[in-house]
Amino acid sequence: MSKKSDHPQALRTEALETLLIQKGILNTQQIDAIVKSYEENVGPMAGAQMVARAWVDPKFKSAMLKDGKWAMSQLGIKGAEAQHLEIVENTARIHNVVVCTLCSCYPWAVLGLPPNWYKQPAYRSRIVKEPRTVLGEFGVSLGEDVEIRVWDSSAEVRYLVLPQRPSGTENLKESELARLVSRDAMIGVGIVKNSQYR
Amino acid sequence: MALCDTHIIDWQDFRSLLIEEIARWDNNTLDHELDWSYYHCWLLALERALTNNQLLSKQEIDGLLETFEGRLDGHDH
Repeated sequence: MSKKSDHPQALRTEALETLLIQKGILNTQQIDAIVKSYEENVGPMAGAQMVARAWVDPKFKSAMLKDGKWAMSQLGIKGAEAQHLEIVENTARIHNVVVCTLCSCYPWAVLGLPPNWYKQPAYRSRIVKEPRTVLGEFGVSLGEDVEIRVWDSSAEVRYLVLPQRPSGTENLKESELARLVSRDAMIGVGIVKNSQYR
Repeated sequence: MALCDTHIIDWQDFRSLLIEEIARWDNNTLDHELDWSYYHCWLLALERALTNNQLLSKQEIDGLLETFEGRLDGHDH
């Protein structure tokens, strides 16, 4: 490794940011706007809204499964990361899980920033080779009769898992349903549970 | 993200560099779990994107890094 790569990452980042601002390539307002956006506006609550809407509105669900970007637009969710967003539905017989085997492609617009484990080499390789085992480590135990589909994200296509709606939630409003939906469930490494009975 | 949003660098180009950096680490024979740092790969990819596009030079980056390393504790911002 070169001498440069031994420098602490924070210092390297600061050096790049400082130079870019000094040279007028970027300004602090541009960077601050993105930080603020991801602190306040972007996160898994957007994906959860899509899931909850799909659970209560069959027409929306049908359209969303054909066009994820359309579903985003219906709920006012914006974001350039998900150039093409594909929704993959969990059923009693099919469980979907998402990965980016090459780097960390992730539907930021609907899930926010990816968790660190999603970017780790262990997850990126093992979820493809031994998905049932890895899901078990996340606490998702699936019967042998459940097919596991692993979706490899790319720059062009990102995936959002539509989890199954838990039983006993028929009396919940859409906003209440959205609060049940976790980021992990929309990646496919979690199951949505009815928290009313916790 | 700011650089891509303003079309100063291309996201696809950056992603390709990131994939290369991650692959370089994946092919390393050292103990992966101890040395892995996604952000290190990310940072290397960003530097390459900036130098490839001649927005910054390695000399500029190295020079400022040495200045920062010479700062007294507590004077980093």
